[in-house]
Amino acid sequence: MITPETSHAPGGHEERALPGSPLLVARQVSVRVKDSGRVLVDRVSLAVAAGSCLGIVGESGSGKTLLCRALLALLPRGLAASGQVLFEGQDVLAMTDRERRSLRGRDTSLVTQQAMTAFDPLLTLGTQMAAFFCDRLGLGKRAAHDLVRTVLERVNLPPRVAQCYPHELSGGMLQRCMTATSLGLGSRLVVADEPTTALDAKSRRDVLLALKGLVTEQGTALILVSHDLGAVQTMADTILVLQGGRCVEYGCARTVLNAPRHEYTRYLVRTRKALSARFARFARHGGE
Amino acid sequence: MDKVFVSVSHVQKRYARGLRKKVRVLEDVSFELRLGCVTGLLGASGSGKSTLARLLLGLEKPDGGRILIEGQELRAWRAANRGGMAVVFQDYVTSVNPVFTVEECVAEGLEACGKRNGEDSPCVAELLARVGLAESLADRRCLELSGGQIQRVCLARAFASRPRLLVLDEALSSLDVSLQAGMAELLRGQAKDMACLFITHDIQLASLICERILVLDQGKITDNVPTEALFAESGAHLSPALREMLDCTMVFCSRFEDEGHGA
Amino acid sequence: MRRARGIWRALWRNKVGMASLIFLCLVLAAGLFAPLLSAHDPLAVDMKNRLGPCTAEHLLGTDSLGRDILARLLYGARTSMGLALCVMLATVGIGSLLGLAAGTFRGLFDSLVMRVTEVLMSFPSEVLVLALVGMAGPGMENAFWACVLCRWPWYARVARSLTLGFRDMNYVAYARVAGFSRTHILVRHILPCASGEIAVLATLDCASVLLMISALSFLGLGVQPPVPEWGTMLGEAREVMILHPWQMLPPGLAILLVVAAFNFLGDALRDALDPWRTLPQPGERP
Repeated sequence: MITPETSHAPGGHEERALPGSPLLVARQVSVRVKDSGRVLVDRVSLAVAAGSCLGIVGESGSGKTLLCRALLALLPRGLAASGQVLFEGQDVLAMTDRERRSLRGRDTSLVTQQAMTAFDPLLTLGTQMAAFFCDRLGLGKRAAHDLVRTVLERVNLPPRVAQCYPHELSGGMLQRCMTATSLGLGSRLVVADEPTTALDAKSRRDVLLALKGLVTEQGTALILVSHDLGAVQTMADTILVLQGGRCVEYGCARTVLNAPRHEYTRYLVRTRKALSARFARFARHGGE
Repeated sequence: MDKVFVSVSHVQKRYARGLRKKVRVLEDVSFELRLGCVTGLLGASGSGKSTLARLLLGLEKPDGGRILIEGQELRAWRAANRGGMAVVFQDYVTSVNPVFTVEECVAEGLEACGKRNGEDSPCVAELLARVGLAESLADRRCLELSGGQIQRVCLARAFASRPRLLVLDEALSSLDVSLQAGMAELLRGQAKDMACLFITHDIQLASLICERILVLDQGKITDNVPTEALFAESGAHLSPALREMLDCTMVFCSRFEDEGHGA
Repeated sequence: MRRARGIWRALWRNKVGMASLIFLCLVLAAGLFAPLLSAHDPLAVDMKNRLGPCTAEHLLGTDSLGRDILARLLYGARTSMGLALCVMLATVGIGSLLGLAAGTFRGLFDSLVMRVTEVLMSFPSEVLVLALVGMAGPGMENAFWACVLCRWPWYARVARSLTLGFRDMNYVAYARVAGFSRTHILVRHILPCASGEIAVLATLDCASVLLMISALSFLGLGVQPPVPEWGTMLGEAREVMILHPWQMLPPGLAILLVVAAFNFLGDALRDALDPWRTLPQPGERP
């Protein structure tokens, strides 16, 4: 059993029984700039179990994205990660590139913020997704295309999407295509980095529902990075709050958001409330 | 104060796609903007919000209908009132000239309304302070700043010329929630003597800032209501597009108070 | 000023670019101070001492007419580099001004400029230069004008497309909305942004102009024989190539090195002028 080891969080942590054993465990992960040695993410520890969702919140520049990249060993050049990232007991950071490659896709996948650049603009989505499935799952061409159709349906997209080129689709649709790819690959860990930023209300709901489907139906472990507290609140079981690369609070979602212990978490919750105050009041009275 | 400032009547816009085909982006859009009032323009992505903004700013010409500001044609009004219009776009990366410093950038806004370069140094600092940026940032290059900071530089530049018509095209969407709250506050403070069109897809933000809400759906204005009407007991008078938007937002809306008053 | 310092720092960091810049400056200086560096007259014929070997007096030997090769090389730098730089400046000036204006003002002027460039660009420029020099007669001045005439359309097109690209930028949109005039936008926003790209193009182009002038001189169409120029020297060395192949080496290497240096410098400049790349690396941001 892993308990969150956060040296910077004030107060002790309650032992939380995670559903199932953790799939990914990160211990004291730091990210620093190779040249200058500046620390961007400072000794963060976390654990995610299959079929559960970890929400990572914080303002921009707090190191959310870098932490995710470090967990998948996908850091940009010039940055180095230290600490331990155990995926089913294997240390991802200590692996060779080849071993990591075999891990990607089937076991881990990433849904990014920039949906437009995530796909090749010259190929239709169906072709790209099918190629992925052929390569990673060893399927035949027919089977791969069947799978594409199935997964598109599961994220609520019409089958014609498979014949479209990336520029013909909206950002929300592309986000859902990415989610669908993870769905088809049967990834056991999906890291979604700000998947709903800059999406309109309907696309946001569809993307979040698709991600939720991954967790509940397929038992995927999901790491949802967002500054959208509303989304994180409805999705996450556990929440990690980052401020300036440090973990200031880590624990059960309900506790963290409703009884935040750290001043920074309180600040985040307060601003979110201020912003949706008018809406929430009406939503309770008028909308229901 | 409650005078019609901008009137948009029967505006149409088509874009050519391919050789023959023309896509109608806006068909017959009419509405009015008033001084001292923030009007929210809501719509899903691809509904023509940004096109409408570009028409309203005179960056493109409508294919039909007219836009009048204080009874004058838009371009004539713009030529007569330098600095009378300002805009902040969503895409902050291209919103600032990459070779400019923060100070030069904000000074451009001052210059627009006829202030000279030499006498504005205290003013730039003041404008930066208003959007919550430190004065020490003034001689940094714009590109060295983070997205949130650049967006605030753009807001400062927009406020600098004391515009009478301000268009914010998803200006707050890329900011952190904590910053959005602050900027919303600022905007409501500044809005007294200008007409502001606040374009967004975030209905929560719109309901906080705006007094009236317009909804654009597939090139048509489907709703033009005061904000309170969104949350009226019966939603019968709202268009399906707006109701769907409300529903979608509510599914993933934060409900802190609902779960015991712990916070 | 800040920007100039930033560019200089970025260039300083690029070792190859810096080395190229220093090398080119040295070559230019050598050309300018040729009388001080070499005691020999590049035009003095010494028939007793034809095709002489390297000696203390003639460091690089003498050519088929007994002239000191080093002296000719040094004086040749004046002609070759000077001519290349002049052609470059003239083409950049004419081309980018027309291109920027065409992109900013559009309309009839734009179509006019673009049609002319299209006509000029529809011929291979080397052939066109040869044809023009052939018609006007060989000579340095004619070679200069022919090169300028064939080259400016490239700059005009690049400058125009840059301008059109910048027109779509939000900061230009803001300036238009705020009511600034087109000329103001051109000078304030577009020129500083486009100048970097044009400078890079110009540096890279310098290399090809140098090659073209050398080629013309080699063919006897450009700089005329007694005047020292690298291309002419190469042409003269060709006549004795079978028996004395090393005669080709000094002018050939000079052309090669200078052209390579211009290319490296162009690449380095492109990196240095890119506003995105001169930023502090991610993570270094305070």
